[in-house]
Amino acid sequence: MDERLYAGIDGGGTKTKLAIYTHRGNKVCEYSFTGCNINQIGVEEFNSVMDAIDHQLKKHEIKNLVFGVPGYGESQTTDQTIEQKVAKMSVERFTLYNDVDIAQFGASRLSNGIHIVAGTGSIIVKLTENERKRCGGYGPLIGDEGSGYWIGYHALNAISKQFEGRGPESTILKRLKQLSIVDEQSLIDYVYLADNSRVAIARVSEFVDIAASVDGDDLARDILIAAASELVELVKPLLEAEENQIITYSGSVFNSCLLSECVAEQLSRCNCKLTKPYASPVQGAVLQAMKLGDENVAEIRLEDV
Amino acid sequence: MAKQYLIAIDGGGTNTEVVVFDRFLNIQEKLITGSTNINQINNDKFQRTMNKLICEIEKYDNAQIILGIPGYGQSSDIDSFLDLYFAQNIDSSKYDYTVVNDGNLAHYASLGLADGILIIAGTGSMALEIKNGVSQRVGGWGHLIGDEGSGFKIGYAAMNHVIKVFDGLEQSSLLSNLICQRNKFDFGSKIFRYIYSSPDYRIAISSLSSLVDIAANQGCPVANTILEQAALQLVDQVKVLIDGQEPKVSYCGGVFNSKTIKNLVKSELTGITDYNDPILMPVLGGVLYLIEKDKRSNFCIEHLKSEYANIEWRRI
Repeated sequence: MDERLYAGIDGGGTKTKLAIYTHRGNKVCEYSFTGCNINQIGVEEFNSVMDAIDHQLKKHEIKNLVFGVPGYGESQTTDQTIEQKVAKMSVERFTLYNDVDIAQFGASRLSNGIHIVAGTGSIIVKLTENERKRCGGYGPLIGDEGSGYWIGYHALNAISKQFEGRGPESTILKRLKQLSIVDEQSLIDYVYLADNSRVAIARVSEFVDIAASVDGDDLARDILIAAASELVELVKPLLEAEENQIITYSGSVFNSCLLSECVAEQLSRCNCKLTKPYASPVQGAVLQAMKLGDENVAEIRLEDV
Repeated sequence: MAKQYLIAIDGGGTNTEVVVFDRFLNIQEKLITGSTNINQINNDKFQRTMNKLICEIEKYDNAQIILGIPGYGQSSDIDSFLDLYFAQNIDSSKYDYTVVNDGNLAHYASLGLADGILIIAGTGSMALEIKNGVSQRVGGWGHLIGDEGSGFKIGYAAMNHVIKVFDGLEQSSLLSNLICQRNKFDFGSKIFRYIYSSPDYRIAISSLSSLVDIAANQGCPVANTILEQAALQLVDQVKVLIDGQEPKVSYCGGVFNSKTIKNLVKSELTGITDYNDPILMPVLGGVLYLIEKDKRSNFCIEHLKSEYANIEWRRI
């Protein structure tokens, strides 16, 4: 019996994932590529990542592809460049979304709702049939509150003050030995000599969580609690009067139990429930590709969810 | 034998200034050129700018030179590059030269070579203490780690307010209206382009600090809060360096163009420090240093000021 194949792509700043599933929900294959944020890597590099993806797509007969593109919908010119490139790929049909949207598709299993993304950056989206609303997502230079970058920045700022004898002692510094940050010079080198300072700073957030959860460090706890509050503040403009809204999330910052619990607790006071994501962003893209391909998605159970 | 000329070079992230005096302290030349901040421009560009500058001052042979270079004394990599460059490009048979951090020149100028603390708040920020010839700094970590109270952080706070107004998290204010009008921001993507596509986003963001000052002067509470926080953060940096006595304190940098900041910092530090307005422009701090080094007693600060005002800058 014929199997119809659906592909999803989750484009990111550091990694791009491709997954192909059958219409029954069985996984055919999954691949990982380098980042495809055209604003960070330029058109040429973007095209070469697309060529590598197409090399895999060619091996299958894909009925429909959904691609979550970083930054999609923010600039008409860039959108056109991306559309023209994807149009040449080996699929029957394709639809492009912002990468945040496919994370929401996966996490909510294609339901309406609010989705919090807190990875290197942060953004909140609310998707309904007719509307897309957003809050935050302005990038590290002026925003990205509650993100990995934001947490990392506050930790490094506190450590710089610790070095100068004007801030509390914290075990974050001890934990950052793993990133070779041990003194003033190594801190400056870590941040300013990094290929991508934004990603380097965001990496620190993982160690803030270790300091908070393993060492019980007060400063680390305070930073994570503050980050949770910042994320909840970004959710508030998107809340409406209706009760019991379900809010999903994605991104590495939610690997912190302390932060997740704080966000859940604060949201419950607004009559909202923070819910574990149903599926990953790339699986969200696959599900949406199936829906657009007129499959009965309510009946499909994706493998590896 | 005393040198015929005294030359001070004050490097910076936006401009580099040079003044030339003869040995009777008559001003000969004021030159201005682009950035010599090696943390912001690459080594090639640094060399091009510096070569041009050295070429301009070649006619003043037999001179003492002091160079205040951003980043000098903070990283061994940068120091070895700069030491080698100057050794190869400044003819030591004609010139006696000294290289210091640009913060030192500003310190000599603002405090008239006295021991004390200088608050530097331009695009970045730090408090620099010189005591018995030893320098110590608080802050100055750059915008990705610190620089509280700097023009960048004031601009950041202003932009963060603007995006929160767009997202409905904060109410619009005189400040947000002023920034949006001046930059024609009416939706998010223009802000993205302004910040993320500008050739130097640090300068783009820092430059907004002057609008914060305008809004504060017109009574905007948001702008006033931003400036108050910045002033207190600058004061905090100074406080770390106060150890019992009342040290001399002065300031320099574009952030102090704001009267609000100037008055707030002054009122916080008066009583716990000997707080004074800067005595001279930073580049003249270099000249003062050279005069003192030469142990000639016939200088006076007023003389330097009037000579400095006598001629115009020449851009090279």
